[in-house]
Amino acid sequence: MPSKRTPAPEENATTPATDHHDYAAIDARVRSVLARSGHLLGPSTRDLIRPLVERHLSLADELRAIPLDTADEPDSTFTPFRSDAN
Amino acid sequence: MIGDDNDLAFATVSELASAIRSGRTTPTRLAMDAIGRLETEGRQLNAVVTVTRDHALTQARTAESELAAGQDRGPLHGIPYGAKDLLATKGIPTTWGAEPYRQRIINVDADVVARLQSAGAVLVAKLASVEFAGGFGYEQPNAALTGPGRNAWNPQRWAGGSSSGSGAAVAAGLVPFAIGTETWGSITTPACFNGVVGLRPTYGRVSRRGAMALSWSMDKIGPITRTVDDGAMVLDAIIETDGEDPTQHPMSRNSDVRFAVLHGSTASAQPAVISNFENAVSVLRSIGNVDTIALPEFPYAAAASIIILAESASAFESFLDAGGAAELTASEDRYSLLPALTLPAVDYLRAVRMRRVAGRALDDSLAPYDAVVAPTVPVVAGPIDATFGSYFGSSAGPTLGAAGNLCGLPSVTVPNGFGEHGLPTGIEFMGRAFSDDRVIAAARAYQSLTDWHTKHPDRLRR
Repeated sequence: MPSKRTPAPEENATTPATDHHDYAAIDARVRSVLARSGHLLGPSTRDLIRPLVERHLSLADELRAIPLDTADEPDSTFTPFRSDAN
Repeated sequence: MIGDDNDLAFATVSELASAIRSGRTTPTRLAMDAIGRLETEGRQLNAVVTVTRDHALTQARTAESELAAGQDRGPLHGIPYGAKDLLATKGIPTTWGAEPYRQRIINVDADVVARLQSAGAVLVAKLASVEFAGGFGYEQPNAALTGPGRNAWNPQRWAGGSSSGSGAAVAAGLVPFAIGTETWGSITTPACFNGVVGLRPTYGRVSRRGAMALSWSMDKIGPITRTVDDGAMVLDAIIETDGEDPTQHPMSRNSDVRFAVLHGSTASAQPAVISNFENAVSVLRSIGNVDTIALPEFPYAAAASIIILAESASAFESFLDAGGAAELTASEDRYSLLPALTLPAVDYLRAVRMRRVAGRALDDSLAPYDAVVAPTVPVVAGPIDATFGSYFGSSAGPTLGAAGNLCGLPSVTVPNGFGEHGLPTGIEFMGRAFSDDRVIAAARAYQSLTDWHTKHPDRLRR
C-alpha cells in the first residue's frame, strides 16, 4: 500500500491539500530543490516547483505499493573491471 | 509501381532500390530530389534542422560509382535518409533539438550513422527533435529550436514527439526512411500521428553509441518508414551484429499466429480510434488466433517516470547546474527537470528493482503470443498550439508505451485508418524481449492485408 505520512498541522492552513503527502515532506523536498537550484529560478517559476515535487512523491508512493524482497536486485550494468579480461 | 516523380517521393525503399538498379533513377537524382523537398516542405513542417547537401551529394556520387562498378552494398545502397538530430554526425552540427547546441559539432559518427554509411545509404538531413528528446518536461509542441513539429497531414496539427521531424519527413515524402529514438513513445507517437510505420527494437539491439543519452537504461534507436518491410530492412542494417536477421522469419496467413488484444486499451480512446482498432482486430482474426489479455498490474508509468527523471537529471546535471536550461525554447523545459536533481536514490533504485520483477511477469504474459496489440495512441494528433493535457486528457499517451518502454520490449506501430479531422490512427504490435522478428512478422502480416500505408497527404500530391 502507498505509504501515508502524517500531515504537519502547521502546514495545513497555508498549503493546498493533497491526498497522498504530508506537507512537511513536500516542503522539505521543495526546500531541497530551492537550496540546490533556487538561484536559477525566477519568482514565477519558484512557485511551479511545488507541483512537480508533489508529482515525484506520488510516483514514489505508487512504486512503494509493490512489495519487494531484499533479494529483488536492480538489473545492473556494473561489471568489475580487469584490464586483461574481456 | 513507380510512374512519375511524385511516386518516387512516396516510393518504398524496396521500390527505390529496384528503380536504381533498373536505371529508372540514380542515387544522385534521389538525393537532389530529397534535398529540394526538405528545403521547401521540410522547412514548412519544421521537420529539418540541417540539410546535409554537400555531404549527401558526395555520398550519392560514391554510391553511383560503386553500383556502376558492380559493388552493390545491398538494398539501402544509394537510398536517401534523414537522422534525428540526436545522432552525432562528423562535420555536421548535432543540436539535440536545443538552442544552446545550435552550432555544436560532435566530430564522430554515431554507430547507427556509420552502419548506414557502410550500407550505402545517403544522409540528406538531420531531422528535428523536441529539445533533449522531450526529457525536460515539455507540455506543448513548441519545444524545439526549429519550432513546433508540424504534421504532414495537416500542418496545424502536431507531428508528435520527440522524433517529430523523422515522422513528418517520411509521411510527407521528403525521405523514404528516417532514424528516430525512443525513450517513451518518441518513435511510435510521431509515426502514428503521421500515418507511417515506427519500429522500436528491443532495448540494446541497436547501439546507442553517438546518440544523445537521455535515459541510459531506456533509450532505444529505430527506423521510421512507410512499410513494415522497409522498417525490417533498415533495422537489419543498423542492428548489433548478433547473427539474427529480423527479416528472416516470414509469417504467412496460414501459420499459427497468436495475437492478444490488450484489455481496456480503447477505454479512453476517441470513437474513430476505437472503430479503426476494432476493424484491425477483425483483420488479425483472419490471420490467426486473437485472445484478450490484461498486462500484470504494476505501476509501469510511475517506474518509467522515476527512471527517466533520475537518469536524465544525472546525464544533464552539469548543464542544469550551469543554468543552461534557461535558453531552451519551451518555458516549462527551463525548470521542470530541476526537482529531479534531488530525487532520492532509494526512489530510483526501487523503480529499477521493480522493473526487474515487472519484466519477468510481463514476459510470462506475453510468452504465448506473437504480439499484443492496442491503439498506438488513443487520440489523433492535437492542435499545434494546444497543451497536451487539453487533448490527451487522462489517457496521457501510448497504451502499451509505459510497460513496453520500461521493460525494453520491441514494438511496431502500423497505420490502420483515419480518425477525427482526417488524421491518421495506428495499431501497435508489441512482443517479448528479443522477439523483434516475431513482432515485425505480425505487423507485416497485418499490413499486407491493408492499404493504409499507400495513402499519402493529398496536399503533397503534385
